[in-house]
Amino acid sequence: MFSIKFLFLSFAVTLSFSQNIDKNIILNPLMGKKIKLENYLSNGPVLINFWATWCAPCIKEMPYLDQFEKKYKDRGFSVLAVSVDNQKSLSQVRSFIKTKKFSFDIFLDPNMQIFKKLNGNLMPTNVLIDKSGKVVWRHYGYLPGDEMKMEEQILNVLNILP
Amino acid sequence: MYSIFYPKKKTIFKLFLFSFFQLSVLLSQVSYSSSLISNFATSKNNFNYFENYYDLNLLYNNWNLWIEMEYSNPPALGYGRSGMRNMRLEYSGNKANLKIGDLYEFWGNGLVLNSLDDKSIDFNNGIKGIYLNIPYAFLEMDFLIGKQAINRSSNRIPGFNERIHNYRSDFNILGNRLKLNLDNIDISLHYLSAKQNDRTVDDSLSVFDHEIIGLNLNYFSNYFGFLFELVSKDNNGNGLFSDINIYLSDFLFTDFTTFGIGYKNYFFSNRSPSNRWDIVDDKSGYIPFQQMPTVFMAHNSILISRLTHVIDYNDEVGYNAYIKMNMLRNSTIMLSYSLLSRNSEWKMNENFEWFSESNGSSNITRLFLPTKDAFFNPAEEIYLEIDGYDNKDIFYYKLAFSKMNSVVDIFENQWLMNDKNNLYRSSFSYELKDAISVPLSLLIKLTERNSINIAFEYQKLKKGFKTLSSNTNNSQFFSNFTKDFQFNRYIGIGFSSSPKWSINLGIDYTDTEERIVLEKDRFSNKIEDLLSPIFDPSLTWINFESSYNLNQNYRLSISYGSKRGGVYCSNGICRYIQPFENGFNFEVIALF
Repeated sequence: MFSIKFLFLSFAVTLSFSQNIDKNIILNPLMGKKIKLENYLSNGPVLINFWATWCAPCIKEMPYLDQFEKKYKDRGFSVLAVSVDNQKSLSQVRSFIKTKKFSFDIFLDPNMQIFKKLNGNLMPTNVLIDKSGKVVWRHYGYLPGDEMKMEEQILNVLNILP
Repeated sequence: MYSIFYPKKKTIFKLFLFSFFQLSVLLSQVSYSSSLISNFATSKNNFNYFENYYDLNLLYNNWNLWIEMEYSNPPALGYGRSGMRNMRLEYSGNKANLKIGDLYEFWGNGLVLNSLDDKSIDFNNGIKGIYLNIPYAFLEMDFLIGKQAINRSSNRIPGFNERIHNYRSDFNILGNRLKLNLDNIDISLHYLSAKQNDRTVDDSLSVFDHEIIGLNLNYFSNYFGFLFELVSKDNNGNGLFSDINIYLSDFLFTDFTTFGIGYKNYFFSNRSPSNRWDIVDDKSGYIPFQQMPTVFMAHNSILISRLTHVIDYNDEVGYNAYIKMNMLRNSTIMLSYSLLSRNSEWKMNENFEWFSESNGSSNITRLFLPTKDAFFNPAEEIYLEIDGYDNKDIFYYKLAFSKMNSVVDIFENQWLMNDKNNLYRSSFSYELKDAISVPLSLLIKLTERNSINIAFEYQKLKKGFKTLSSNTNNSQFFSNFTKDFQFNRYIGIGFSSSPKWSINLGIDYTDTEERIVLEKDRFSNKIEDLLSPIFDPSLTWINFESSYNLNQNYRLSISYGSKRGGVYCSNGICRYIQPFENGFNFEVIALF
């Protein structure tokens, strides 16, 4: 009897763990005061994209992120592009984004501290988080066509039928 | 079975059950995420490694615990380790943020503090200590106290090794920052003091105090951006970094244009060419947690990134001017020009002893702009790049052109007095590098999910010594190669099927090698043997790579073949990475 209870409790404990994200993560914008992730999550789901100016696949992926943000912004969806450029290329970030005319918000993480907190390992890394702060999808790297899977996941988290 | 689990005393059982429920309640509020990277490689030239990094993040209300475990035997670079690599406990609140453990912080543009853990070059200047951040309205105050042990390489002491650092310095650090955040402007004041403890070349204990004060200013608007940082170190060295951008919409024939210029002038120590990189006997100059902007383009082309200019944070002035233009939909043209040099020239007297205008002290006339004079160790690059998608998003292209030249090292620059009591340069010798590179990258989408990647890079490289002998009075060039020029080419052909898998074949070949490298043994692999009628196996490095995403949580990569070694730079720090000859590399990334 006890072993059954033990197994049940162990299972319950395992289930009680969840991959929720720290809503208090402090994001460092290109300019102005630091902002907490929860400020974005209060509006709706968030896609955090880790990128760098020297990362070729990241640059190929970014036009699609821009499209998605423009398309689903009215539904509360946001793309947060977190640059992991270090001091060597950090000053290029703003001119890169401005010239490409991307409209999503840009943040800096030169020492990869947020990247580490979200278990980023490769560039680019994408983490889709629902409004409650739960990680619903992650993706490492960019292969052409991955944007379709990404949009599918965004539609799911926004509860939009394709 | 029952008797094993059921305790004899019911009270103990109840206590156990109660504790278990307590733990459950506690854990139900805990979130976790973790990842594992496992990397195994074996090669014929004994570049073998087995690295495992496990990252765990635990979250409980406003508390976050990050633990990074490492088991490496040996790692690709550095000391083998089994156990905890990093740990940090963080509290994030509305009134204060607290961090205890391994700290990686970046202040301003890194002229005062930039601590990072870069495994690719085995550089870790993370600080073990306490960090407190207090935001109050538009003000932020930061306090830092901690210790730091930094491992670096020096050929001045025994035990120099390409893979393992041989010199350790310990630092006790204390820092403060005061930051004012307004709508479009940030102003911060930085202060850092560090006591350095290590040993000199004769193994005696050395203690050195450093003090850095800095001012950082950022301004951004829709039309204009401005970064500025000025630091003073130990009241005699200082550094300045600035970056200005102007943004113009619908300028001439473009959708959007950015004009920018980055400028730096670092002068923390005045050193002769022979002790320029000495970290053992000369403790003056910048300290390792000052990782500053390089003001030189960072490249992702395989061949251009090998043409490293080793940044001298102690003594270098330079600028990088660029124009970026958005032409068609997502097509961008960039033109960039960079020039760097030292602030002063070092000369040799008749006894071949180095001297400068100020004999090593910092009271010299500094340059406002860099010079192309070879005796100031200049580095220059002209870079042009065009990239973008076509209108239907089925074709991506990137084409670039780079012309880079630099003086790597000065070995001799002797000045003597002639009959009329005028000084003249009687002899010199320095190493130079001059290259033209053209990288091309194409991506073609065959279907919605399948695509091919093609990369072709070409490089013409001149590298060698230029000397002037007083006997002949003629300057001569001696190439490092068996020919005057080295022609390098890289061909990459890949296929990918989203979101599951990709394969890539990389062929890196040249027509000659440096004389010292030619003496080393090569171990050709099966693919090189197969393609030997086309590519000379002794001058070709071929590698086949495949990646497979099992699902969003697991990714496998395997590669077979050889990779060419060379100097690899990251974060302005360069390190020689040995070639990988005829071997396997297996990598697993897992998320839990």
